[in-house]
Amino acid sequence: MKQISNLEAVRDAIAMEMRANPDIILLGEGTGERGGSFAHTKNLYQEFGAKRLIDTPIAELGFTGLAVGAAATGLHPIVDLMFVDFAAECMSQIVNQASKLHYVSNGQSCVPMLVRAAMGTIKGAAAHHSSCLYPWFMHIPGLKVVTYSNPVDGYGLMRSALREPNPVIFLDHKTLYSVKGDAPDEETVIPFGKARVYKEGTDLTVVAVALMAQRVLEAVKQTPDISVEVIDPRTLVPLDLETIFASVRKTGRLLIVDEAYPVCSFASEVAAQVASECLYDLDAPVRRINPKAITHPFSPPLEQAMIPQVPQIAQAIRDLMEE
Amino acid sequence: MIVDVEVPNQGLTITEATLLLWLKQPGDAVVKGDILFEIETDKATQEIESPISGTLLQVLAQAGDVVPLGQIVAKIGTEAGDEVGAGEARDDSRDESDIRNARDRGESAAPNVVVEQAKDIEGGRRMVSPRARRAARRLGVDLTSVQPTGAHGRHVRERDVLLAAEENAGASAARVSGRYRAKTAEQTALSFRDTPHFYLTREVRADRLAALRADMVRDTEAETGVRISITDFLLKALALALRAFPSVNSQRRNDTVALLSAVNIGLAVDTAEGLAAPILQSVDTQSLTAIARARIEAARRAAEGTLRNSDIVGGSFTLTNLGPLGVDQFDAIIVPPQSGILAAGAIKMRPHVIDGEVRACNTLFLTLAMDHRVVDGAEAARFLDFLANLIEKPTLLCSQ
Repeated sequence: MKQISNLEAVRDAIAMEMRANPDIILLGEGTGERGGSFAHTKNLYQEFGAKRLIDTPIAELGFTGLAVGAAATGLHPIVDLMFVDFAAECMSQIVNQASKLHYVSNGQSCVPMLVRAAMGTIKGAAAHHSSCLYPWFMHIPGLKVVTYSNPVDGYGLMRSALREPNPVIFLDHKTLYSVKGDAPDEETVIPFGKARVYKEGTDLTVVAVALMAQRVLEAVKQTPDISVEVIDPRTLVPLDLETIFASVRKTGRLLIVDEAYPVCSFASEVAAQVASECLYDLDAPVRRINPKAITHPFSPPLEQAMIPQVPQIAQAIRDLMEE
Repeated sequence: MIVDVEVPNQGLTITEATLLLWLKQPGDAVVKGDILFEIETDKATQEIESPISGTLLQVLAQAGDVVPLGQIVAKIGTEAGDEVGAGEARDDSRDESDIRNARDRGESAAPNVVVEQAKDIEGGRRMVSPRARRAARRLGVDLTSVQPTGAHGRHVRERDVLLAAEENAGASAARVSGRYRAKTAEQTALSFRDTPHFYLTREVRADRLAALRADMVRDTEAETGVRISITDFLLKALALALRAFPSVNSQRRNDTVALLSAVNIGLAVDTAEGLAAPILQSVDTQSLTAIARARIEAARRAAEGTLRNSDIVGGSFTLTNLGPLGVDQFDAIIVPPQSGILAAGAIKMRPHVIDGEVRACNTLFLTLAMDHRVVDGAEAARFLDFLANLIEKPTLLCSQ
């Protein structure tokens, strides 16, 4: 099967939807003619022109606010924040305007807007360019939160995301941009709220998204004697808890691997939900692996020590079986 | 702070020790590591060190006392001004006198609460996963009998419970499950232990019974929607026999026998959840069709697990029919407090001597199990004869 990178797959999905929907515009820093800092918008400018690919100044608050207004008045903007760390600059527009407009207008207005940003550690990108801030967005009612761990999911979820009538936060993992996988079928559209079960198993359930999902798949190759079920929920909001519950009811053991900071993380939420709904199915404590609760270091060895690695995940799987 | 000094754990099999000698007295200053007292067990003599520095405030056992392991025998204050509270002292003195009294009676001193404490200390707290607890409940496994294999050897997990269930059953774990299993286990064990059973077996001719049953099914099934079975004939025959023998239609209650006015009969029903024995009411007054209806309804409720309490208590007798499963003859266990149980085998062609000639006839074996405290052999034999007569002349079952 043809292999393409995650970056290409999502870019193709945006192009497909832009062809189908003339209201879609894309705002970002260097995402126009230059094709984006990661080449993640390459060739879109050439196809769709300066009117739809709008280069902005480095002013996230301004162009995100502009996009909220554009969305409320009929367009479907994609706001490209490049690094999710800088969502902090425009959080008020996302949290106080975009997520709430549909509700406070009693449904008279909606905000069909997609905020796209890259997240996660890569090669010592350090304190300001490494965070996985999806728990921030998961916390806010009115936002849908999407990430992915392979080209098919990235493509299919982006196509769904650009058909949503209200705000979607779409997060790419920087380390996965260049990673290749099976190319999606052109017609692929993946609905929100449906987890991917990467691998079925009977001994232990592992839940992970984005880069951590790929690391889990590597880790289970090192534990061939343990039958591990690997689940990538894909959309964090809405979260497919039923698939996770069903798996835990089968296996009785749950490990969550999450690249977000540990406190109030994606892992916290899944752990709490499972503790609440599946207590009597659990044969061992729920375990979580998160990064250390520290600022991302620049030093590559320190960064490696902070972020969950494949051997650590494999060891956690073995330990949990011994509980 | 006041620190308790216990008699320390002495290994798996030792439960108590004799306190030989105090080396420190109340009021003495002690340093951590000082020898406080000596104990002797079945295995060895041992010096017990102070776990902490301070003042020995109180000793709660005397030289010569036998004390359970884990028993608190001294209190040490680590700070000036520490003193044993009045209420605490009173409790402790009671423990002490219990120990003395026990010693005076020549028993090993072991007030229950202290023994429990000792067990806790020896075993450590054992963790049972919620999933394992659920499995134990479902399979009727006693968690204290489960050997944990988890981390530190103290986490009981589902697989430990499943293993224990298999060991308990000597076979598959599924064997020990089932809604009725626990009750059957308890009742049969109690009955087999406490009820003096005797057994009477008789081969009964059943040609006419088989023919009559076939006729009745042919004539009535379409009209009534009920298919009368051999079991229904046996129930009716048993009911009429019980009515004719009041001493058998009875229950044993403590040291007396209660004669019952109604004829209520239990029927052994095989379900996916195990054996149930719902009671059919006033069987002697009902037609065969009515008995069949009641039997079908009771079997349905037994299978669904919706038997009411009134469906399973009372009755003087039980019928168990393993004939449909090909059994020729068997002995059953009485359901207490009933007086007996009738075990019926299969109707099939057997050689039978009639007028000096061997002929092939339909026969079945009936085996009565009777409680000898209630009925004697001769009376039971007359009861069985009466029953056999009804089955060999089955139109009698239709005429009343």
